[in-house]
Amino acid sequence: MSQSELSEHRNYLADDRRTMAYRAALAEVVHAGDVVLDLGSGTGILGHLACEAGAGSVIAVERGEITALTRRIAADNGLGEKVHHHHARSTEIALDRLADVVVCDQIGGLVHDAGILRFFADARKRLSSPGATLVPASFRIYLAPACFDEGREAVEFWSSRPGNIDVSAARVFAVNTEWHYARVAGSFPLADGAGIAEFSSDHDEPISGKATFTIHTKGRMDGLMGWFDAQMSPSVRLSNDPWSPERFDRWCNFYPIESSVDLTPGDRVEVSLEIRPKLNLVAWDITVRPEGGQAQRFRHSTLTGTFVTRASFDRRTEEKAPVPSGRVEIVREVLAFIDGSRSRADIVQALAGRVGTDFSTEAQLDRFVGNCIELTRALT
Amino acid sequence: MRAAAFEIPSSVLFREVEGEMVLLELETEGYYGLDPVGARMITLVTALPYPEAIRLLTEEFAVDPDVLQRDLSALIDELIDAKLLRRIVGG
Repeated sequence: MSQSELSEHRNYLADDRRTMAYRAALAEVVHAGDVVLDLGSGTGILGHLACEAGAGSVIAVERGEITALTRRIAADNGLGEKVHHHHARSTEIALDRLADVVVCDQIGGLVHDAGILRFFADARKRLSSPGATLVPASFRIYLAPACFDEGREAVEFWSSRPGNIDVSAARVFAVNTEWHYARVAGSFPLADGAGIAEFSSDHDEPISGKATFTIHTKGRMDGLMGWFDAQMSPSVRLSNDPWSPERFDRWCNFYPIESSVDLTPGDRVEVSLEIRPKLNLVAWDITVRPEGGQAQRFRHSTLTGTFVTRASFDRRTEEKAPVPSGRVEIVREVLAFIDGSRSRADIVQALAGRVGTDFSTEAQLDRFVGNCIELTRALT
Repeated sequence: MRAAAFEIPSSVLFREVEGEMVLLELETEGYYGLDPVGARMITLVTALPYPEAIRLLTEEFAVDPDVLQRDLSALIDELIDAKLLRRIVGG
């Protein structure tokens, strides 16, 4: 496990507000003997809380390599028999007994950005009983125009000629990126946050919302801050509102604008946000209307903020037939060798003749074969 | 100063990629591409008053103004039909 993975799990476990919210929510919805499905189980803490609430069994699903540790932690806590582990993506498993409760903390900063909607939509259809309870149950997402030095700096860095090199071509990517910030020190809202969309936690469809803000605090608008309010269970809520003392320790999202605008109380800001989970895309369209001044419109999207080539867009265009790359033939060869009797080294050996023509080194061939093997494991 | 006569609607996202323009129509979630000439045409007609866009394009492409207007008009009609471009009322 890498240091960053370990730190990530430590942060989750150290966040008492998160633990208390999940504990209270599970205590409210889990009935004695329930089957609880824990999606993206990590260290397994949510499954443990479900057992504490009376679950008869927990199905912990985790695609990461942490699974072995999760088993050990369950055993160390006397739950070795009660928690059943699947080292897989939840979208790849099938269950003998459907879940009564499904729990997940892949919420991200604005819900769409960590997978919960897709995982819950799939679990609702295939892995849970009719009427199963989802934890969290629903979300409301919020936006507010904000002054945020660090967010502005993340964009303007690219105009600063680091090392006296002009890297300003990258600025367009920076200003069209959804930024995640665990801390937003020094930032402040220029208007009250507005809930722009509310949806159930298994909503795997486009999310869109609009709001008009009236500025109440003088300041420089650098972009929009976004956060969520989760309805965990009928009486438990959890929020990552960056300016709330009650927030749990989760990043919030920042959506910059092309150029900062100085605003004064009474000015208006019209905002439209469009989230397309299946396209992995967010668009924000902002019109600033200063009192008595000229309106300014800013249109941004992660479509523009993504590194892509023309060829990759061609692949997204349905009417175009996929064009095989020069590697397809070699992939076919590798796949033919994957028959349960040959090791990776055997396959590399069998293809050694391609080194010097299709591969510059044996190490490159070895990595390619490894990728092909991984590909067959990823396919379901 | 007069405004542009056309705009790319809010329901369309667009970006430049290697000199071409890629448009994503959100209603259908379909991607469309414009070659560099088409991309330049649409960039100018959505940024400038129509006569000014015609003048600049005629200069840039060293083409007969009538031919340019005909080609541009055909492209605009096609994009409007595909909901990728919108005529601005009063523009």
